[in-house]
Amino acid sequence: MSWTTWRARRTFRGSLEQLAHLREFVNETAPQFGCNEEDTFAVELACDEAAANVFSHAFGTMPGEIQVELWRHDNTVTVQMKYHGGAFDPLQVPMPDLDVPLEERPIGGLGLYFMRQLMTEVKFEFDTVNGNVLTMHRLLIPESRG
Amino acid sequence: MELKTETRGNTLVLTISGSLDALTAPELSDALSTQLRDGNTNLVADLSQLEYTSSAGLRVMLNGVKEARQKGGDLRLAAIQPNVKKVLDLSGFMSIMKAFPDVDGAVASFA
Repeated sequence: MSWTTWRARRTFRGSLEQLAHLREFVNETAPQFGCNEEDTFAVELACDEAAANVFSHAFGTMPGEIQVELWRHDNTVTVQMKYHGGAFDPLQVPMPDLDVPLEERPIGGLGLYFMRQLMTEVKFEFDTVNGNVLTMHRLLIPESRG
Repeated sequence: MELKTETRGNTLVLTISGSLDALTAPELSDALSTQLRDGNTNLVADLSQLEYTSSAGLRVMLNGVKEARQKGGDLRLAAIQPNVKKVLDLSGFMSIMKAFPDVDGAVASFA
């Protein structure tokens, strides 16, 4: 069976109140693509972290929105987030050093670290037509393939 | 997210229910700051009803641990549920924070 026909798209207002709705969307959609619990949770958390960064930093005081699209191709599930507003690359947030002692560890950057741990590939592009495009791929664990 | 507090001996138990994310975590941050400012430095986070946390919730917990320890106390976790455990494991915070299977054990650890 080909999974390339499985696609879902939804647009969310650019505010932190939408995070719970975004997670619900991923939770409902990813299992339909054959994602098991572990894959679904990984995609849910990565989407939450990415969107929280975008909602907090990309729109400023202007109202914005974010279009989220999920699809599966072979054994990879992909999430793509498109949003306008100023160019904002959520991948430029500094990564935390988890080896330094607690007292010396700076707060922040953990969300991006999660995105990179949970997803196989994370990339950001900006152009004047599409605006900001954040794409995250996850190679499904073997139990989700089929 | 909902918060409830209960004093048990020299310890304050904060029961955190629902989901912690970038929207709701500031409320927990405010609650922790208030308790620490009021001198409640022996803190237990009862996570038995916390279904989800993102990095935003973990940042607040980590700040709580740092501040409580600086004041001679601690913030200890109890009854961590599977999805929250996954996020804690991913962060590496489990090596820093003290966790207990239930609230009674966490409270007793301050005795």
